Amino acid sequence: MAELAQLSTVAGTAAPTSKVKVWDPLVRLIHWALALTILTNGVFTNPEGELHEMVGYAAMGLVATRLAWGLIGPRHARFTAFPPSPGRAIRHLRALIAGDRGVHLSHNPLGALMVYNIWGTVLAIAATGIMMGTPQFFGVPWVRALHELLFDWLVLSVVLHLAGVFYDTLRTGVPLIRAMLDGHKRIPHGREVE
Amino acid sequence: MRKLLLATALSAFALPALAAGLSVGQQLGTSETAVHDSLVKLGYDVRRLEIEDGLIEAYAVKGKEMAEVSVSPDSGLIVNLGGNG
Repeated sequence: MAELAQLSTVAGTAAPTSKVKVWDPLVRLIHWALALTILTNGVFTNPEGELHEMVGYAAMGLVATRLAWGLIGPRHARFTAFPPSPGRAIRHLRALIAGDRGVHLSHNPLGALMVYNIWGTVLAIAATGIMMGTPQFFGVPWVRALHELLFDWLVLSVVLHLAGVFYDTLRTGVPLIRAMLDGHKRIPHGREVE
Repeated sequence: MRKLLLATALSAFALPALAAGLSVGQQLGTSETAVHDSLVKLGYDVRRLEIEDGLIEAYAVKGKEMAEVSVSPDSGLIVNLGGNG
């Protein structure tokens, strides 16, 4: 209920919505920068080149910063706002099937699992990438195979992430991409907010 | 003094090359087996050997030196050398 009290009505829009600031600038910067590093290293850089390594380190740094921000950042950016909970995810899935159209101000429980999955996968890709540059693991086939397999998993995860974003935008009426761009969730009136 | 500095600067570049023990144009053999055996004889641990873009490509390690070697199967010569070697 305290959250609802923070809602402010946006005047002059066709459908009445309430605008809530959820994503701070650092969360948004890290989100889009990480997307850029994934795209860059997946498509454009030579996997054996220095730029690929530098972009990989940047991706690792972005995730590390986001993890620190999950501990000390503002309310909606904190892990406590979107705990990794399979139980909550399953309950959320059941609610979706039952036609629930409620809004989560931070990540919804399924989205939360995806976020942790993407961060963990990026870190694992970075770790195997660093391993490939050490004498112990240089040229060792399984390390490269794992590095590539993890990247395939990341691509699949990003596709599912995008599908989830579009689905949830349709389900709740909250434009999520816009929220990740300008930081505000525009919530149609009458939606239950968690 | 100037000469000494120059010599030091040059050796900084030259030494790793010497330590690498591999150089472009070096003969390693025209088959994967021959390349493997040549590298082993030179003291390398050959981690992976494959044909890529028509070249024999080997990933080999000696101590802290990591070498990615591309050998022409026609001439048997190293045509490209990567890694930190």
